[in-house]
Amino acid sequence: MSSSAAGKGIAGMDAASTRDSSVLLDVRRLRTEFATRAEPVRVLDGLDFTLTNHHITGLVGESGSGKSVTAFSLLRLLRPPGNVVSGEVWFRGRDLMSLSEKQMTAIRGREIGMIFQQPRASLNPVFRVGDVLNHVLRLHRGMKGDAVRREAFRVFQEVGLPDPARILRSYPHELSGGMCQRVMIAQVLAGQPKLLIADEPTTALDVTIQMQIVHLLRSIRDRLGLTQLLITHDLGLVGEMCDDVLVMYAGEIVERAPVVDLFDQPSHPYTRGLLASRANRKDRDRLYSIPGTVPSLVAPPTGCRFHPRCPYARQICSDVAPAPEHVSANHWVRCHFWKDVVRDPTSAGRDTVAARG
Amino acid sequence: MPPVVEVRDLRKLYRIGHAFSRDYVHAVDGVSFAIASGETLALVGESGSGKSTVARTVLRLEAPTAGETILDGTSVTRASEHALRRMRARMQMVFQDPYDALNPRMRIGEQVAEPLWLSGKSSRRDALHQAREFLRGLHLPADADRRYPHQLSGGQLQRVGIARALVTEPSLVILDEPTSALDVSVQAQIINLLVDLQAQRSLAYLFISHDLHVVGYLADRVAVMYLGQIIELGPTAAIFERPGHPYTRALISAAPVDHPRERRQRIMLSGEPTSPINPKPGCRLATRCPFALPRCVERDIDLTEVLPGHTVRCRRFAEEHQDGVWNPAPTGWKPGFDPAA
Repeated sequence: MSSSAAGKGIAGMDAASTRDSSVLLDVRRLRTEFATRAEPVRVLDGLDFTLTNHHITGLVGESGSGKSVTAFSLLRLLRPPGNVVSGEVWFRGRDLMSLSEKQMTAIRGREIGMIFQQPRASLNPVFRVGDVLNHVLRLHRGMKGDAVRREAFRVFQEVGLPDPARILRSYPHELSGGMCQRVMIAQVLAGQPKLLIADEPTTALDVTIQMQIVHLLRSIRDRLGLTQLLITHDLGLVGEMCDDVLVMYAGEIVERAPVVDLFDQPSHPYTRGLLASRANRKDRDRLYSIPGTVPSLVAPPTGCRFHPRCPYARQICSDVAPAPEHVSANHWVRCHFWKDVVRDPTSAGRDTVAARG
Repeated sequence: MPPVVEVRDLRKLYRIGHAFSRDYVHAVDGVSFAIASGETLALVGESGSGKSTVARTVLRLEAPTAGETILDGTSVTRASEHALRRMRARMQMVFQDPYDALNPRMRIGEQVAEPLWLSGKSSRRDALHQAREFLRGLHLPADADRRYPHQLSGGQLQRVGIARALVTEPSLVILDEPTSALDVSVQAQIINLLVDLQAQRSLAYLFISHDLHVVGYLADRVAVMYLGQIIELGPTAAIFERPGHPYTRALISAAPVDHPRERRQRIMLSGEPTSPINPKPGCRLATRCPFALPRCVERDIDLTEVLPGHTVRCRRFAEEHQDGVWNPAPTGWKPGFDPAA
């Protein structure tokens, strides 16, 4: 299947398409490469997906699957040797890939905000956090004087920072990791963006603090309707806070579904494997483990990229890359044999002999 | 049967500031536990709670300020340097990040052999031979022993880390977050391997982790640490189903759900842990605990056995529970603040 056909396929496959006002972001055939001394390595190979307005969409995958590269490509923040080779990213009627650098600067922070895994590393250590926030308010919202101070105070309250007046005067090193992440979220909210990209926002935090941040991001979704793309490797976090899920494997999205459908009826063998390999107190059977390891993107497997690790794989899987197929209205999967996967009575293919790790 | 390892009232204080400073970080403040052969005790708690310091002082990688570790009936703490070197073969550790824990310039086979000849158990040549034999059982590439760390994947390297810990046939293995640096699809392989090796060799595991799903799967008993103290210790099922201490309740409640249908309201602790420097008497959670009362900060709280084999360091729980059941209402009280005044 040619890449352009695949692209149209998805745009038509998600219930919503660009003409539909429920879609905030529409990514088509996004292709990102990293230059090496030899052949360029294709990290994203024709990525297609949409983000629904007011939803939190999880982008799940293992390290090296291309999750973070996706975020950086969308925002055009990749530095050489990384490079978006082709593709379109439609956001509120404009293709971000065709904008000038100046137009793009106006979008970053103002329309699309981003937070990262290491909040302290993303804050400038020599500025008081309040000064940075004031700068955002002046730059993106054109505020002046007292209004800036009042709004900064209000935004800090909104993200649940205790004693905003004191924290506005603090430097990042005086704050804990959880508080730094709240400050980062406040800086994003100050720009009143339409989309928040959160790259592993809780991975560096302790569990009780992690849950506070999860609650905060969900309540921001509920109160302000802020659309979010959550990049994570943690299916527990996805189950906790997402509405939709995109599962990524070796530079491709292999399954997309509403969160309950994904957990109820995972249809890609990789998704099934990930769900089944989670440790659980109530089931102390031997853990299912996906055999093999994540492939190198320098020489990805032919056909379906998961076939060397797949218990359901047959000849066609190594020859032909599967096109996306509908499981239900908002649920699609790239697998030749997803019907066999779904029908397999063994829980998540657990007893498939070939899959024993 | 006597336990493999017994830890008695272990303390580790770090002086901070100048040489005559009276400020101490109470990293580990009176920790006691025992682990039997073939048993897994999980040590859970957030960063800064002292889990890793417990591991380091138990193994005497650092000298404890007070307290003692007894391994197979002999004191590790009082052993001479010479005796300690031999004892190290019986107590080993697997580290979180196998990339950091292995020497990048040394072949895998030599790294696995090193603890064998260092402990005086074998000659260097025999050690290398034993290391190769051991690696053969771990599903590694056939020539793994001649490779360097960068030539193996993260999951393969963690197998090597495990091999290096187990090749000396220890009775105690401390596992410090052994899966958290690995990819999700590889974690299950390592957990299965750890379970198999424990069953074959009756190993005692001290399993340090913040991943409650893995703890629930692996551990027989769980010890929960908060600011240097064990605040609850009991059988895994009891800790997960009937946690006693308010901190344990919050921790268990904060674990992500297995399925989005199970999303729920949670017990949330406000704020973050207080400072471990010269802690005030009384319960260390009092400033964050929704159920705190003035008597919680009157004096230090002891671990109390509330049910057989289940101890809790909470004064209100110890006084008010009925057969381990205690359903308090939030009090709204904070130390230094009296709502009645």
